[in-house]
Amino acid sequence: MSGAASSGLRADRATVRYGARVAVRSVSLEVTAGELLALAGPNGSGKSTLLRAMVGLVPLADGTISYDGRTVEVQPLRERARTIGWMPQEEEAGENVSLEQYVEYGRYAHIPPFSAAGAQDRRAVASALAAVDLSRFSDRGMRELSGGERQRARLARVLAQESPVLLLDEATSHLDMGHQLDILARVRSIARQEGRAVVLALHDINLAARFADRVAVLSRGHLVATGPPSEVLSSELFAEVWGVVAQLRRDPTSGLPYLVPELPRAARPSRRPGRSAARVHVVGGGGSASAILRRLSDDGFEVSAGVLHLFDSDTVVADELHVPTALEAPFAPLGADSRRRNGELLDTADAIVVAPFPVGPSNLANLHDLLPRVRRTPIALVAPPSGIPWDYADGAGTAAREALLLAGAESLPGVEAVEGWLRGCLLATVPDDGVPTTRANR
Amino acid sequence: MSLNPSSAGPRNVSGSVFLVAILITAGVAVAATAGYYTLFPAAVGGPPGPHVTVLDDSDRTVTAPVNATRIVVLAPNVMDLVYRLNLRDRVVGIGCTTGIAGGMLNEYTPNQTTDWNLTPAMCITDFPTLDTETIANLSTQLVLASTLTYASDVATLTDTFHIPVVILAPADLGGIITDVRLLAELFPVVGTTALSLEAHLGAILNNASDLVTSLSYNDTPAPSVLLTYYFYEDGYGAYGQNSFGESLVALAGGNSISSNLTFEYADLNATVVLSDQPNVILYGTSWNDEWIVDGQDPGAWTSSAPYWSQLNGTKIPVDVTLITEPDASMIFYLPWLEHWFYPTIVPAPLA
Amino acid sequence: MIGPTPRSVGTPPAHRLPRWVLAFLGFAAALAALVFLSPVFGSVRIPWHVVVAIVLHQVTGGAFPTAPCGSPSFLSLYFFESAVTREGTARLLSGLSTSYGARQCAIWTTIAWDARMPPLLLAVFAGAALGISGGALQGTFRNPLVDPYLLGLSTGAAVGAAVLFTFNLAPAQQAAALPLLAFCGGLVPGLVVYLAARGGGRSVETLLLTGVALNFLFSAILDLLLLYRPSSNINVNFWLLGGLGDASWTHDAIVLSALLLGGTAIGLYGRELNILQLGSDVAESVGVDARRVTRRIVLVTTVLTATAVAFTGVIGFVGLVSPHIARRFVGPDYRRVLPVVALVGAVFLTLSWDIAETVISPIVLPVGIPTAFVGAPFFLYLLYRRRGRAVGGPT
Repeated sequence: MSGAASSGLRADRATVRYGARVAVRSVSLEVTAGELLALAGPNGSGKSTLLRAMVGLVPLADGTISYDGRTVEVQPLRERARTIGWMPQEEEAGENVSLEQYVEYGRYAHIPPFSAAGAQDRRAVASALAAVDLSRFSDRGMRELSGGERQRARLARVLAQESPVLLLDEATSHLDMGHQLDILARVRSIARQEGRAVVLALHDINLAARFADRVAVLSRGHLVATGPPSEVLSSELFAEVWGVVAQLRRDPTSGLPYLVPELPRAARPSRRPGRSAARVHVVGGGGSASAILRRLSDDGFEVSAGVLHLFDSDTVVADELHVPTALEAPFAPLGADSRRRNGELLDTADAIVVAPFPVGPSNLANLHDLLPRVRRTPIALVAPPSGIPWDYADGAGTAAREALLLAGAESLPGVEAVEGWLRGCLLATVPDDGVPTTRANR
Repeated sequence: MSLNPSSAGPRNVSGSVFLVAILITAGVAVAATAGYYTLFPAAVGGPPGPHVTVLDDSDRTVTAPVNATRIVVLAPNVMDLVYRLNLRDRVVGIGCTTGIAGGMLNEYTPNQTTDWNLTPAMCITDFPTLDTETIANLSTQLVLASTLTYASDVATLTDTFHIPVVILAPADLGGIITDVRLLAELFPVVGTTALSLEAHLGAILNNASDLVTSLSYNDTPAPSVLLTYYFYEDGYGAYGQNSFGESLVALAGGNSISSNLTFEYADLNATVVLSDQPNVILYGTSWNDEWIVDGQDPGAWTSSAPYWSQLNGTKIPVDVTLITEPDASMIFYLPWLEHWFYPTIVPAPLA
Repeated sequence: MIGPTPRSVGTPPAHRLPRWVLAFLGFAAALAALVFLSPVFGSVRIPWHVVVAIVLHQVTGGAFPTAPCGSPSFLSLYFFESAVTREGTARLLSGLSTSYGARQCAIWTTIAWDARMPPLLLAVFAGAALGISGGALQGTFRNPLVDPYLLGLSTGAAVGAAVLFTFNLAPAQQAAALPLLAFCGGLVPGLVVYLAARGGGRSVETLLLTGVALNFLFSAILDLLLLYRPSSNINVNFWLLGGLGDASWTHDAIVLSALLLGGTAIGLYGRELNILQLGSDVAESVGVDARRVTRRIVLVTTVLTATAVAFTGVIGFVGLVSPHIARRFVGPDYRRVLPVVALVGAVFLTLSWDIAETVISPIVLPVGIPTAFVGAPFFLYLLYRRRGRAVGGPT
């Protein structure tokens, strides 16, 4: 066994037991130099335990963990510390030493017993601090740092060990979004540029997919999948391991997959037997109706939308929520078919909500088609935010809006007022149990 | 930045390096100590002049200056002998309990302070710790101590200050005569006084033992006796086996009811006294009730001693120092005890 | 623990000594002053300049001043004459008689050097031993309430002493047997904890609880012994309160040797103690054998403290409070704390000994009493002063 390609950390049927409970079951995987392996799984799946076993803190009940062919457990502690760096999820607060002093603790295994830290150690500390963007805090006491800064400090300490293997347990959980992405990007570049083998335990599978070369998924101690993110990520896997239904999407810019969990069905108010929910039709486009669609859908209303153009962002949302939609071809003026379909939806609606969509010649008909219905069905128009132009139809849009308002449509100041208005106008038909009912039930 | 996990790293702190460091430090420490004692050997040698070597009551061999002119006395019973041998002028300090209210009078009765001409200025604290520094500061040449003196203080006096300490601790009345002889060895100048004192005391003891022999020969019943120096809520302080108190009672011809108790100073349960109903009860009275001085004031005995009114024997109050301090005064008091034990046979001694 | 604002390693402000060096020198100077001046305290009043002259004379092996007593020498005579005149002792003859003066000076020398110096040095060495042991144990167990008697040492030593008094062993050599038995008694609980630690897989909490349990066990054994022979009660209790009065040069040498050995051994683990504060898992991942370091420190502190206790009895608070004081001046870095805490402990115990000798002179208090009377309020002050200050920044 020789050569850079085959050197790496290798777990071979590693099994860890805590008493009778098996925390890690016969896990075999390998991380090579320059590779970032993400270890993903829900809480309690054994990620932390596996990492601890890799650094030798918990004994293996079965199997081996080795680096470069040598078993980790038999290595003396100092040698192991030079080989494997471990960043725990949590650690004791410790004393109020300076950040620089703290990161220097990571150099312990490199400093000979009766010596002081040398130039090489100081350089390692400085570059570790730079890697996590904490160089300007090197004089601060550890207790004066925020939670996120402390987490980065921990990472710096591990980086300072200059070990060919890095085991990071939830290295970014306390950080804000910007820092999370930044740190993970740096870790990945460190892995590639310095040829280190990195195992990163994460609970956020999307982050894992975004940064890792390979993903290993653990579920209740078992390794259920390994491979590149695009192969491993799937809705079925997500549902099986995390118990959450999710949709698999692909990031248009990077082409990387990501999972979007659906809201748990239980969030929706249940239907009463013998009654059906009230129907609300939403008119919008250009992203103006997305929030309304989601909200009403969550609240248990039966929602329809139209007329929306294909590939419009509102269309995407409607599609996602399985909302019946009258559709038109992209950028085309509303044709007879789409308007007829829209009319069907309008006529069967108990109420109509008009989102503040940008009005142009192609979708002006959306407003005109509402006029005949204004007396029959409650219509509310959400006012467009001031200062933002929305009428691209040379004033025809404004005129149509005015006409509707004159004819009896309501004006709502914003999206938040929609639900209140709906409940209000359906009030007479809303029984005590609070579930709005259709006209048919009145 | 290059990673070199396989480059030569620092060795482990092996246990042997650790051990070597410890041994080197040990060697240095030991050498330093040895060097110190070589450079500054402990000073040896006492004051100049003729010396005498004696064996004291604790079997210690002590070398002391002959006829020492500056002595410290740490116990009242020793002071009694010192006074009777005309050595009072040589006493520069006496042991007192200065920390407690009452001062010198916690250890010496008013009679003793007047008879022996003692002043508070002579006091040297001896409880709870002995003030060895003041003893040294007085240029003391000899310390006469009792068994109440802590061994560590004796060691400080002899080893640090090079002041000889002679322990006088008579275990019985005969030991008092031995102490007179011991003092005569240390102070040959009082030779004649010592001899006559010795003879006088010896005569009393011989008479007493002759009396006891003749009484038993005549089958005169011996009285049961309680010799007590202190009472408390449910008992009496009395003397047990191998104590001078027991020998005092025995020499006077009595049977001490506490002689079966194991400890020298023993507590006798009041109910036992009540059931034994001793013929003669000698109780030690003192001028005050301070705990440090034995004995209690006479009124306290009659009013508060347990079962006092139900004890039918002859109750005789005695100056407590005469029954707690083993010295010549105690022997001189012996004839009185004989009289009280056998009132019909032995007449009261002349004043 | 609040300490000074940490400075980065190796860059002290120019033209100023690092704060820890100042603390070290400060306490060392205080200790030196105490060693020279403490022989003033005792039942016999000796003027302080005479004391200093005597100590200097003895310490320099007779070089300076050449002869405080006996043959004339300008300095010694100056010291002695002025002292004697100021004392105004009635015993002085008007024309200074050299032989009387020499005799008095000889007595003063014996008192100040032969009688007062050994207990004083014992206070210095035992205080240092207790201080450094307390500091090391607080670091190892990551608990600021730990003192050197944590692992049952005080009760073990008390049992050893009680065995001696109850069964009246070696009555002729009691002075030598007492420290030996107290030492052996004190070792036993510590060794039990050490062996438990060797068993592997023991967290510091488990070791702590083992020590607590042993404390209770030995306390019960002590009570049994005292019940068996109540008359030995007073001797044992007196010993337990702590006393330095029976110290001899030999005792001092033994405790000093133990201090040098043990203190050096502990001092070598400064860096490891720092890293241990992060928890044993992290420490091991960084290369520190947490279990081995813990074991060794337990062993060394047990032996060191048992040696001190054997000669001084159980003196509380020194081992508990000194590390806190040292950390306040020096910060949390154990490489710096350990040397300083030895000095702090020495100063603390020496001051307490001075108080014990002076406060109800000529009676000497057991030294455990002033350490508690001074130590407890000072400790409370440290605790409650800390509360008022918030550490800057979010946590």
